[in-house]
Amino acid sequence: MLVGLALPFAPRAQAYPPETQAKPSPLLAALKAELDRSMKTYGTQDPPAYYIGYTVTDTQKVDVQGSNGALLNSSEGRNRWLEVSVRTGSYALDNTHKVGERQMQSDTAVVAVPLDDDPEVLRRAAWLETDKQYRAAEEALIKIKTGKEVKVETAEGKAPDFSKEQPHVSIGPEVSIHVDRTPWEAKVRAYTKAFRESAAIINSIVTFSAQAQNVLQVTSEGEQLQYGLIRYRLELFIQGKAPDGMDIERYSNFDWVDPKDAPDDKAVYASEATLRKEMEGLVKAPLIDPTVGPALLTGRAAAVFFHEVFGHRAEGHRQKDVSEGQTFAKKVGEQILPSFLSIVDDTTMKKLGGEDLLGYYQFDDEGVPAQRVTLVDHGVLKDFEMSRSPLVGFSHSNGHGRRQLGATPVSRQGNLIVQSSKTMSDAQLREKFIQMIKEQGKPYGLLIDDIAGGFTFTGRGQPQAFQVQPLVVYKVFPDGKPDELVRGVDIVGTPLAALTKIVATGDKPEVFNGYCGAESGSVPVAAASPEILISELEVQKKETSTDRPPILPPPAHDTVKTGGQQ
Amino acid sequence: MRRAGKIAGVMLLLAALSCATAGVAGAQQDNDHTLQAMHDEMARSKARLELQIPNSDQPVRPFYIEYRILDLEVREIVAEFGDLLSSTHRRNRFMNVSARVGSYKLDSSNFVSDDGFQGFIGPTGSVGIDRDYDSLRQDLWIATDQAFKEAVDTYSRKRGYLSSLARQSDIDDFSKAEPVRLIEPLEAPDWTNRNWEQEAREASEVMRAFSQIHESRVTYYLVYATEYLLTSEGTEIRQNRHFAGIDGGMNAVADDGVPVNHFYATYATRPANLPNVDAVRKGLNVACTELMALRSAPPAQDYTGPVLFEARAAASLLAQVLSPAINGARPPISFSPVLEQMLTGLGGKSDWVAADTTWTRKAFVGRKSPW
Repeated sequence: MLVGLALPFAPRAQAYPPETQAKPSPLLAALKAELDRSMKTYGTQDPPAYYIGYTVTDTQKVDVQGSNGALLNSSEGRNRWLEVSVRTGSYALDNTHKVGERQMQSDTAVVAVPLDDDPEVLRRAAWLETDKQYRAAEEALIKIKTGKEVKVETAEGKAPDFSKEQPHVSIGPEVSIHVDRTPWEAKVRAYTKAFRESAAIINSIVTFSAQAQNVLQVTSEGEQLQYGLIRYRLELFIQGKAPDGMDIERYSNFDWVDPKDAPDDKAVYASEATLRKEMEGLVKAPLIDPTVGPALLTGRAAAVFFHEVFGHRAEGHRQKDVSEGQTFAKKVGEQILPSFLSIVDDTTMKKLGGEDLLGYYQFDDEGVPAQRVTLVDHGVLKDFEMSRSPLVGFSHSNGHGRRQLGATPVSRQGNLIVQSSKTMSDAQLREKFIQMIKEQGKPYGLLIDDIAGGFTFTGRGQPQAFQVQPLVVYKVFPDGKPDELVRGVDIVGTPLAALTKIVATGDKPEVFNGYCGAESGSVPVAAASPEILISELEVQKKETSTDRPPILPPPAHDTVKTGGQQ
Repeated sequence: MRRAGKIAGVMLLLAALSCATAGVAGAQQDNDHTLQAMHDEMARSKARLELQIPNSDQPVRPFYIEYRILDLEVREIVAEFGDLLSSTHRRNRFMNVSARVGSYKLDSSNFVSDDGFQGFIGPTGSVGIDRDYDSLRQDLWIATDQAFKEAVDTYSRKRGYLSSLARQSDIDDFSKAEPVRLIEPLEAPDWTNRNWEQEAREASEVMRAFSQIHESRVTYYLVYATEYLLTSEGTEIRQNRHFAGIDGGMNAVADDGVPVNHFYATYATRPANLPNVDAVRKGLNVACTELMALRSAPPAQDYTGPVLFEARAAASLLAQVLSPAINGARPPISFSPVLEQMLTGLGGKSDWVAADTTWTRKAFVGRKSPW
């Protein structure tokens, strides 16, 4: 068989524990049969297809959403999508090659396929999409070969376009969820009704979602995968408005995998009480002006900080792309962080300190098994998060090729874990923080308690800067005055400078679970870090609205009897 | 005179309130608190929603407020080649609040500018599906606030723009309408005992016999809706709507590489009135057979001359050609001349209006219209 002859590796069987041994889906054989037929045809064309991959993603989803004490929607659905990837040319140069700053449109084709297990109809869909994809890949390769003649080849561009990886055969059990929506409908009503008790909360939304996703993947390299993943999530979101028009938002979420780990009402109401207290404080809190000085970031805030400032710049494809800033491309083996810090991206980790990690998976979206990757060891840069787009000196994927359904995978973060060998207790860290404020002669330092997220510029056309959006910020005074809640600033900086200003860390890691958006869409990620003390952090004024707050008070808090049932 | 006018106004208001209360009472018998919440929030807004404008003696108030809620329950079932592709069942409620400031002669409507007021939640959006009182008032409160501020901002821009024109329109911006009150009994969706998923499978299975069909979809749409409308003029409506349709699309490629496609569609006023699966299969079979004939047909040559449109084609043609010409909507006034030109070219909001405008008509030549 042509596919087998071309393969440098024999497929490796992945062992599942005996209790989870599973039968292969009948669709796997159908995909394999159509793949073999396609390779026989397109593998002998000019140019030949040297790689074809089929992925079927079956998603069962339950959503229950409430707002202001009522149910917004409650639904359950299932869909099944087929993605077809065809590469023409060779591993060294194929239709995905980026010439200069131009890359051919290479989004994977995605088509809806029947929920019924009907091999014949699935093969028909695969047949049609393979033909479309081959034609697009054929055209792209011709343009690339022509384009190469008029562009200078960069050193980074000399790396192959696609890495050769060990194919795996792994048949895991199919997963499913059985959710009784009625109790969740009652819960989201009650959770959002509780928010109505505060006049500072203009709007509240609580969302419960559950998802079971089963993936089947076959490739012309011999890969045959069947695996599933279940996720549950509860999100609390509230909106308010300060008298000066600034919009204030607070958010918290719970993520779990096993239904028995669902948060109980006590935990949810405790989280609600914190959000409510913060909202009521924030709408009245004074604004602060831009400043530079010492800052203490709590674990969750530090986790987001590392995700934005370091994690995105350690994604492998950014070291290859000539339009990227390539902050760390030439720094492998160099000290980029204080020597007491190490960073791993471990997508094999399911939990940390009892908390489920959203960045866990068995195989990445290019069929490569999840791996633990040491990115920074005692401050020294060692590796990048790699997809199957190799770099010079990094010829293989380490299982970080990820994408949202329908997008082409690129290297992405999974579970970014920051570890420290210079830890202090909370009290010691605060003491050092105050000492630093005094030494710098600053009137106050900033305690960043929560961060919503942020963004970072990695392209060469922009400054290599990051901006993260703190949600809860306190002024900490050196003279022992109580901390003061403030608002209206974003953290800004440049990565190489910011990372070297970390002077100490706490001793308890905290986890941030969220969804990260980038070139290949939105993917679930986790980041974990202990508290960090930074000697110098810059904040700038955040973008704000000037719309007045509502003219009338919320109906439930209106003491005037006009027209209502108050 | 002023006093008499005031008394008359109070009496009218009382009359309106008593009618409104009767409507609300009817609605509450079925545990639907939607209209009650709409009434109470509108009363509060009419009485107290105002903005003091600098250099003006009088605060600005809305002279007209309108609340619309659409309660929509939809099942959508899609099948291809005898297999189920998706089956969804959703219920949502959508709110739309509009407010007008100024007067019937000149108000805040129908004006487009580049940098108008941008509320942070907005006057439209999803609201709770529970038909409860408190959550809907909370949603209407913020939506009314946003709609009012948007209207104040737009009115100011519109007046500024119109003052620069040599001649202004002598047509009023808004016409007064007699209040209408219609409270229909709340209707629960009847999905009947038909197995819609199985019907969609069986209907779409017809395409399997046509090996030259590359792609096909059969979609069942089953819709129940309740519309609510409350205006500050006194109009109060709760009305049920229902609709169902089956839509079958198919495509193939002719030997010369030209893609060809065809469709089959049928509609009914209620899901239960949709044709049975045998009738749908027959209809799809005809469409597939026609598509195969089309696929084998020789390419048409350039032609100028008489054309005969069959009835179903003629109706569609007239709809496309006549609709923009007989649409009574006024094109919006725009601060941007380029934008204004574009909007005028589009003929304003070109919602389709039937040629005889008989929206109350439920059947035409023996066939029921979908609404």
